[in-house]
Amino acid sequence: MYAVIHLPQFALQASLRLSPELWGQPVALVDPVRTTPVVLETTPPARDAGVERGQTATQALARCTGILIRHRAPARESATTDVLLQCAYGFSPHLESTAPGLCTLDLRGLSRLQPPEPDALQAWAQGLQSSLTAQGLRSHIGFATTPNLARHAAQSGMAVHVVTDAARFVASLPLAALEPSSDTTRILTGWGLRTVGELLALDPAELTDRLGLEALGLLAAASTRNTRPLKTIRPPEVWTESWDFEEPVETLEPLLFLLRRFTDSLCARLGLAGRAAERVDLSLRLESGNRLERQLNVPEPTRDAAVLQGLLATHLDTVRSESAVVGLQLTLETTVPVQRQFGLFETTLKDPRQFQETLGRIAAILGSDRVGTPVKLHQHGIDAFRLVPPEFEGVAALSQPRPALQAPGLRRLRPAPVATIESIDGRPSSIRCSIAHGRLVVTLGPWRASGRWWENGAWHREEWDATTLRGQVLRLVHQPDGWTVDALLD
Amino acid sequence: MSADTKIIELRQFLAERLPRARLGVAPERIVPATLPTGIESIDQGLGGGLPQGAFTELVAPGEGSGSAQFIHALLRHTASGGRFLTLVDGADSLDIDALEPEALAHLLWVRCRNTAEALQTTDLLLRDRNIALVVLDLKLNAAHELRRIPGTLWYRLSRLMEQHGGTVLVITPQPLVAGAAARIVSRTRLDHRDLERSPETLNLRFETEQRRVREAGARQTA
Repeated sequence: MYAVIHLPQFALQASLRLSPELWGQPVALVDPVRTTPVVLETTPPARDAGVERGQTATQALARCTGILIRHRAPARESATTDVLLQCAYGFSPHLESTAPGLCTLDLRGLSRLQPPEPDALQAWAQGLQSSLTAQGLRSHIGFATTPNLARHAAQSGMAVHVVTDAARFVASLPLAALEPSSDTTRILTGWGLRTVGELLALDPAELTDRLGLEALGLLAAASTRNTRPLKTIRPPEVWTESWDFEEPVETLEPLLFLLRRFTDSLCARLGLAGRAAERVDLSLRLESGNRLERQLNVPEPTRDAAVLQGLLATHLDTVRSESAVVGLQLTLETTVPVQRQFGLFETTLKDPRQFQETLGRIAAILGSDRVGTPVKLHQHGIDAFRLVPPEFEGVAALSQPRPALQAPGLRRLRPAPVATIESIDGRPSSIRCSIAHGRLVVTLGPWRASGRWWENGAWHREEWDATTLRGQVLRLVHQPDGWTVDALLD
Repeated sequence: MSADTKIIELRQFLAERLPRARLGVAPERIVPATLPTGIESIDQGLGGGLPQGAFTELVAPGEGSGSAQFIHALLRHTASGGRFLTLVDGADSLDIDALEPEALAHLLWVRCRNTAEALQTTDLLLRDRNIALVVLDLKLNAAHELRRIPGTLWYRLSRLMEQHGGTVLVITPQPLVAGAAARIVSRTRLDHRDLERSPETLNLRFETEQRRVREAGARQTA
């Protein structure tokens, strides 16, 4: 059994996918590449106003003054094909991108559809259509025993069409469904043939004598048994949405409005693919030609659109640009979502979503490298750590509350202020820097350390602990490029 | 109607509208919920620890006041109880090398560059009802930045804490937090000899001052 998803008016659907409210308004899609752009597809209100395919844009405007003329955009059609394939992949792993707006699925191996009962197929198709509707796409789905028949069923105009009697269904198809050449169409029409059934009633040998090899092709296309291997593909794992504004945008609201749609669409597709976003790449194209690009790390991989929206809104609050925005692109870097089995007595967050949003907001203010749980790096060096997203589950309690280290902690100065040190007999005797100046009354040291001498990035330093007249206990560091104050005792 | 009658009616009216009010009788003793710090002198002085749902201010004046040692001790104690601490590090000065990895696993570290960032992130954290204990460390922040903090900010943050049940310890170089429920003043003076000592043997001296006792919310946070 095969299923074919058909997106009617594919080019127009691709154009209106992110603005579905325009289906209620007169819109005409024209191809700007042609010398005289003509209307390719229209919305129902435009058709009601008398706008038809083949009219020029001027004619369309004459018939409907309020019509919105949209240019066909191959990039949007390509993106819509990706969306179609990503949605379909959530329902069957064997799929073929048959043509723009057409996707064929092999249903073999889907246990819930074996045997293929019409009710089960209807329910399956409705689930698939819901996913596509969430992406702003209208679809027709056909089921049949061969890919060609399923395609004809999908293009029959019914939302879901299950072909149970293949011979009868084929016989009822119009001749145009077999896509004969224009010459053959003229001949067959001249014979008074209108349907495939009437064609099949003729003797195949005599038909071939009169029409040549094309007759064999038509009979093969009308066969209820001939099948073909699908050119199966995997949908691209590209999670990107983009938009070009017709007018430059200077305020935040239009951007947030569009980003909400982007994130809703992308997160729904991530759900079907079993992925979660771990990084958000936002690119704003400015009127000046420059781009504002920012990578936002998601504190914990998620496919919750609200979390991503909060993250983006917080970031955009802080964005200032020299000119208006004319386009934007949102790309999600994805990973496999973290699965955890909570213990019976483990403490968990009351509201993980709110916590992620809080972390995202803080990261937007400070930078994603400035919030998290510190993890020491396994290397010999001072202040070597990295920040990781906090884990609130399964973290063992500290067994011994007393300090395991034998020296008191300091306060690090980041960045370390540069100091001017005067020395007597090789020992620092006075200091001048942004946090201290004057004579040093006590100096202890030096303590020397080095590392990575076996490779690039070798370092060595000399540390002194010194006390100023005011009683400040400072850790002075002497490196080849001079003195700094790295820390103080407090 | 005599003045006495009016007073009696007023008392009856208030008793009906505000049943918890006790006019003319001694108020019930309210025992606030607390979060122990693990430092005996402070926990004893504050009746068990930091009052929940309220500000506590640790005033750490001058040099070597022991405020960093206090943060480390508080983190270790929190981690030993399996709980978590959020440190809003106003000047990004936490010494990671002085802490055990197991203790650091219980820390959410917010590394700020200035006072404005620290206050902004504290505001966000207090709106998150997942956060139980926040330490806002302003000890090394510039004096001119601290002077610019409006007094009303602390009241606004107090309202957030009452709503969400968070507990905040603010570390400042001088008294700063208006309306803090408790204040701890460091009398510690560390010098170069303390660099040779174990953190446990440091002579950390703190004085506590219970400023305002009020009922802490019964909310418990993770």
